[in-house]
Amino acid sequence: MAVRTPLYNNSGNLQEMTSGMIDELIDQVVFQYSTNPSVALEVVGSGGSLGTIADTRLQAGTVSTSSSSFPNEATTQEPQEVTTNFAKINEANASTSIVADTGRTFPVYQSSGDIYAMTLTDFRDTFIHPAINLLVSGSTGTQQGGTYHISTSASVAGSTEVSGSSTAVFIDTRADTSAYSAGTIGDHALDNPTTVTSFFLQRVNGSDTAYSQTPLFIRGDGDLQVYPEATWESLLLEHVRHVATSSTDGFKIVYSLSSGTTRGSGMTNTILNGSGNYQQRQVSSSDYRAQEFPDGVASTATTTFLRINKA
Amino acid sequence: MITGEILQKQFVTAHFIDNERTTIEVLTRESADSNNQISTIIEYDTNHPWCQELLKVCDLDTLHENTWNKIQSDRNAFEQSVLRIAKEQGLVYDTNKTETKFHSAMMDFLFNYKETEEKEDLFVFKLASFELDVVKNCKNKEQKAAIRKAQSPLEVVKAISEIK
Repeated sequence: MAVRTPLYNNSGNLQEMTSGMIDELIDQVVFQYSTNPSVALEVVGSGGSLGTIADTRLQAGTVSTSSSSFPNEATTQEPQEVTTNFAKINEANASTSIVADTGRTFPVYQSSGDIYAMTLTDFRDTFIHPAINLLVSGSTGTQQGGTYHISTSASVAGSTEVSGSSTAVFIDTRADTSAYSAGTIGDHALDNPTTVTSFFLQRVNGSDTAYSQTPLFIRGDGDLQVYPEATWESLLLEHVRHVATSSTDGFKIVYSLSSGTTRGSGMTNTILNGSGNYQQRQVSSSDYRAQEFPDGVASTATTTFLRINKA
Repeated sequence: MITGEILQKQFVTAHFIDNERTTIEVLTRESADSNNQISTIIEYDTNHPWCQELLKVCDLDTLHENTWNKIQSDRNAFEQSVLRIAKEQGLVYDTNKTETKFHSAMMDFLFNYKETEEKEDLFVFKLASFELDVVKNCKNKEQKAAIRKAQSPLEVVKAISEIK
């Protein structure tokens, strides 16, 4: 690992950048990444590569009938668990490549008074890897621009809802106990779900923060020159995108539902925890009905987080 | 989303949502002047920036206290809903409300007493009568014996009324 201190042109004099100046450049790496993330998550209808999250809820047991007396509770079916699977988050990595290092591609630094161009490794250690470290933090501010998090709100300040149409990536449902009544046994549906919470995939917006100094590079004629802004920012974008998808030294960005730093709200699957609300209905002298409705207090069965990691 | 700024201005409450006390629900207002609340679920992970921000406005003791209160509140709500259903089904009676079935059930018990099915109810009825001040304060053993020996709820009422 070789973190270098880049030089800049201070009114005609070469000077080493301060740590504050370097941090500004690292923030610019993050912003460049946010403009075109190479590790992209998308909302799909089904089959998303991040895997499946199950929403479970109770539905009423089937109706028991008798022509002579009410079926007793021991014989009626318990409320049954209904499962809906969500596999709506898909990771789609861009195909990336970088231009080969000419030996003068990257910024210059000084060592014992001599000036050198950074190597690819120096460049990544100085600018790209610190930016990746910011990107994979648990926070969701502008220094995580272009990365993703989960929210219970479709609209989040500083983020963009990924589906563009407020399509939830997970919906927590529970039985609507008010939909069941003894007087409608046999008439009401077994499954009466109500939506408790919807969860949305959000992408953090970047912020184009100004950087006070731009590094220098060695031209073909051996002179030093300040990078043109577009050239410098293009270099940052090309490399941060490539490292995020293809790093071989632990700086790939990876999303998962099982390991890594949590990103945004956990997605809770809640379910009523009762053992059944036994009810009877006599429709006629030869039609006795009984059924067990969902009941109980809502409890959290599982919580799934979107997670970000380096690999 | 949770930030220090949002928590300072819009924090409502937070509590654990699992028995293991590893996951927290944080409620914040949508904006400082909004009544809409946003639920955010986070891990209790003191290394995570969101958890660190939360603990600045709601320490661990308060989280546990909030959790206890939430469980009690949920349990009470559930018990109330069960009671409401039971009343609707005529399984329990509310003696303080005229619209309940309590009075008709009591009249049925008094005037249509079924000895074989309601013998235990008669016993409980007698016990309840001995809780009345008028009976407790009665010094006449014969009148009290009349209550004990009554063969129907109506005879119990008659015996009490004779004390007066």
